[in-house]
Order: sequence, then C-alpha cells, then structure tokens
Amino acid sequence: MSSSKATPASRLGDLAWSKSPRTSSELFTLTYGSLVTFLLTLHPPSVVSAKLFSIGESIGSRLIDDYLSKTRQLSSSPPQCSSFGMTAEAVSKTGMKMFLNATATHEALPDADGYEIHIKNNPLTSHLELPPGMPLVYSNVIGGCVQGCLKSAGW
Amino acid sequence: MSSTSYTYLLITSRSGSLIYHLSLSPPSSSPALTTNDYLRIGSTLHSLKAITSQCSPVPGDGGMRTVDFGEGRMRVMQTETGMMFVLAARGGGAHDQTMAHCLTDIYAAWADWVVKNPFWEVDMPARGSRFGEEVKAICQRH
Repeated sequence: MSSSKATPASRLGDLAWSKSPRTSSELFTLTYGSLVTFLLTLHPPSVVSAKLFSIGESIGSRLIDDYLSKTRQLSSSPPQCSSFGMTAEAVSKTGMKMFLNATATHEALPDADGYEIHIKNNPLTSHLELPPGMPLVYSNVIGGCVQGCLKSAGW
Repeated sequence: MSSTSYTYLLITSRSGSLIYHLSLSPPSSSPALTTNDYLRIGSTLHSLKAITSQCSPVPGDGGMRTVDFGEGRMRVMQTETGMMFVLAARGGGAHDQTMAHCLTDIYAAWADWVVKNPFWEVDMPARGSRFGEEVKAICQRH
C-alpha cells in the first residue's frame, strides 16, 4: 500500500464523496458506453472524441457551481487555489474523488507549463474493450469537463 | 424557528444582469419591491462590488461583503464563477456569520435545483419554484 499523506484537498474529496448521493456505478458506466456507441454510429472516431470533449465542456460549465458550493458547505476554509499547482491538486484529489470516486494523481509536466492528471480507477472504462488501433479518446468527456470547469472559474 | 427576519434574496450573473430574485418577508411588513427595483438594485450592487474590490484596504480581498444598516444587514457572496448572491435581513438578530452560512447553503441549493435543471442555461434568468421553496426552508433553519 502506498503511503501518501492525506492533504486537505484529498480529505475534502473523501468528505464530499461520502456526502454525495449515489447511483449504481454500472448504470453510470453503461449509460456512458451507450452514448459513445451511439455517437460512433453517426461519426468517425476522431469526430466522436471532439464531440465527447464538447459534451464535457457543457457539463463542466455547470459542474463547477456544484463543486464550489459543496466544498464551501463542507469546509469552513475551502482551499483557495492561489497557484495552478493547487488547482491541479484540487481537480485530481477533490474533484475526481467527489464526482467519480476515482483516485487521481497530478504531476507537473517536465517541458511545458502544466500538469498531467492520471486517473487510476476511472469508472467510465471499467467494462471497456476498444478495438485495437481505434483513434478514439474514450474518456474525453472528463477532459472537456475539467476544461469547462476551469474556464467558468476564471482560468 | 428563525430568529432573523430575512427580506429578500437576489442573484446576479457574472455580467451583472439579474437572474433571480425572491422576496422572503410577508408582504405586509415591508414595502414590496417590484422586478424593476430588483433589477436596479442588482446592477448597482454588482458595480459596487467591482468598485469596492479595487478600493479595498486589503488588496486582493474581493470587495464589499457586508452592508450594515444599523437595524438590518445585507450580505454579499460572490462565487469564483462570477455570480453574486445578495441576502438582506432586518432586525437585531441578523448576524454576519449566520447569513454567511445561509448564503453557502443557498449556493448549494442553487447548484442542485437550478444548475442541474436542463432547461436552464448558464447566465439566464432562473424561474425555479423548487429552488424558491428550498431558499425559504434554508432561511427558516438559520
């Protein structure tokens, strides 16, 4: 078991997850799977990736209010992101946990000004088998969602 | 039972336009504000918030948060998404912290009942009666 110490962001993520209403994870996974399958009947895989991203952006522009209001309710001093690194931590440790129940880590990119977020147990791909070589970014909705959230929050 | 007598809630979008208003006091006790009144108050407070954030003695503070009227108080909360929630109350029992908690719960109710409504578009006026009921219940609790 890896010894990662609990930061305020990850504690907030765990608390927010414990308080949020639940639904069946299979329902969630299979609903997303059917959405992607349906889109693939209409468009080639690269176009579907772009469409999933823009769906994510619409979700993110609304989800940000959910994230901000719930974290403010649960913590008397919610972490103010004074640097992009703190934002990356908030996205990976708090956001991914409270909405997807996924463990994620963030690492600074070595050669660019940004962070890479690695999601460990992504619920969207839990029963997924992609044909080899298909140019589809299956979970692109998550990327779009993060972009939508950050845009609405002023980044 | 709430010990604070709330008078109204109004919410403006990031551009300053009014997207929600709700009267929280019984119509007999204070003069009724019309929709035009709320529009004017909303846009004025939006500009005031922007101006006070620049002339604040604490740099980077965010500007006006509380307006004290002696016998009443107005509490302003601006979210990182640019929306501004304004809660007004009268009476000696209107405490700053209580109203701040009230506004946090109102923001959460907004996220649950308006933002998740698929027929509502971002920065558009909201007409949720369910949200209004939630706000009244929250004000009862605080």
